[in-house]
Amino acid sequence: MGVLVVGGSVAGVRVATALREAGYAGQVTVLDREPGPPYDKPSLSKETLTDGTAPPALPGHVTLEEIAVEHRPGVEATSLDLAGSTVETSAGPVAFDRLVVATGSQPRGFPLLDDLANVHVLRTARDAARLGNAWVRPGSRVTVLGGGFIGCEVAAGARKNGLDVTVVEATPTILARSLTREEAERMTALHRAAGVKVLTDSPVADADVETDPAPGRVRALVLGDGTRVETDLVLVGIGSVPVVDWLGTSGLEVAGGLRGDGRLRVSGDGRVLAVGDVVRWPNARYGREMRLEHWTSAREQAAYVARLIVDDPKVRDSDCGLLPYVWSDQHGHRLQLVGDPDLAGAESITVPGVEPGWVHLRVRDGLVVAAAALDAQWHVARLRRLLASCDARVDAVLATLVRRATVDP
Amino acid sequence: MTRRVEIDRELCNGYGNCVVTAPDVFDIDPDSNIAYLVDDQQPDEAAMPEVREAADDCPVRAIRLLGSV
Ligand SMILES: Cc1cc2nc3c(=O)[nH]c(=O)nc-3n(C[C@H](O)[C@H](O)[C@H](O)COP(=O)(O)OP(=O)(O)OC[C@H]3O[C@@H](n4cnc5c(N)ncnc54)[C@H](O)[C@@H]3O)c2cc1C
Ligand code: SF4
Repeated sequence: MGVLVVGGSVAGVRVATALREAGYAGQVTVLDREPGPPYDKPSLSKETLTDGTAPPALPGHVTLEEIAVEHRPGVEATSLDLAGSTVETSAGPVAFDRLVVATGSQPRGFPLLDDLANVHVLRTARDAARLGNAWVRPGSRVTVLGGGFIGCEVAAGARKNGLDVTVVEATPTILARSLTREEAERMTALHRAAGVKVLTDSPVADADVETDPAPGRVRALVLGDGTRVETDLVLVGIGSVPVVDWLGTSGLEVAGGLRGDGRLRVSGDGRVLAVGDVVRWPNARYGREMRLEHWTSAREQAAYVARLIVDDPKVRDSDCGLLPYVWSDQHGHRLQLVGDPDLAGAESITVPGVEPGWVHLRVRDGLVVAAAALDAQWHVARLRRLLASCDARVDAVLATLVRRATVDP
Repeated sequence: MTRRVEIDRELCNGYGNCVVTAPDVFDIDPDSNIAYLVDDQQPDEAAMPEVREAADDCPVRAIRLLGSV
């Protein structure tokens, strides 16, 4: 019995460590369908891909064993019986007092290219190893389908390894979900300067597939205007979907992410909670439902839920409100985004003195609600603290961020 | 062995998670965009829970806890 966590990546493992830190002494079990010890994902599209370095182990300065958490790799949850407080798994039923769902998300498929030998996605260590092995051939032509964070990072990594890279993006700009048009154009310029071909407004209409030998290979992507993009390897990076298939018969609301309340509880009685990429919940900071797919928020949600489970008075009466934060590394540059991901209606103000990087504040009604920055880590560290506090008036924020010129004699 | 907190400047990418978790202990250098210990000071015992949390909050594990932490 005790607490059962389904999903042993950054969110699930953090639930376990935070439970122990909060003094929870009962049984804690973490199941994961992947084999092997828990590891962290961000490096998979960065150092692991380009340099072959192993992804960092989770949790960090302790091991799960040291804190008496049972980790069961290679065990897949297949269904949830709420009334019976049991999760059915590939290794038999597991009963729980409290259940935390941390099954994350998985890459969205592109039906034209499903199951072909030279088509890849990137989510797990296994995906990274398969991709790394396939692209080492010098001069390989790599096509990245989708100009989101992962696609852009893989494109940058492929250039670093000397490959010929094309990004194919259906919408008018890369990184369109997170950046303004102007910011996206700056990022496009960085990619082009590094030798990446970036094709925007380029929906894929068809694929030229060689079917023999099975399972087949894609030779070229055919764009809407008839252009052929000849390729040796395709990485599909068109977003991810929450892993909720195993909850289909549970009676829980799973469309667009497992739906939690303000305290990340997904069952009315609070015995089942959810954290990480899988959960959609009303973020108390904004009073709006969100499903964040960021490393930092996964950890923050996990720590919140652990406290809720031990009935910590600090969270007992407060909903889970998070300041979204995400980073991305491309061509040796650091892109960082903080705050409200909704760009609509926000005015952009450029912080002076950041060149060659940049910091753009997104402002509504005189308040800084978000910011995007390139190569400005000092500024972003301050912005995260300012936006977390209540005083995010533009003048106050600028006063903190604009560094006085050092007075040299 | 005495307790010691170190930042691996080669690994640190300036993501800033440590600064958010333990603002009295860590900060980012505005010129290099890399983390450092505030005032070059080793954190005192009372700050250690926060420091341990910050070490785990670092996505690239650039914060090392040495000795009996
Ligand atoms: C390549 C890559 C690069 C990234 N880079 C960044 C970055 O630079 N910055 C950033 O902020 N974020 C980044 N992210 C996003 C970040 O890694 C995710 O937000 C984070 O991994 C979410 O953690 P999670 O534990 O909720 O889900 P996941 O990491 O998806 O983990 C879910 C776990 O659940 C397991 N599971 C699923 N279904 C079952 C089941 N039925 N039974 C048992 N186990 C199951 C899975 O095997 C998996 O281990 C990146 C993600 C990827 C893939
Ligand atoms: S969290 Fe890690 S990478 Fe980020 S600033 Fe701190 S030490 Fe550097």
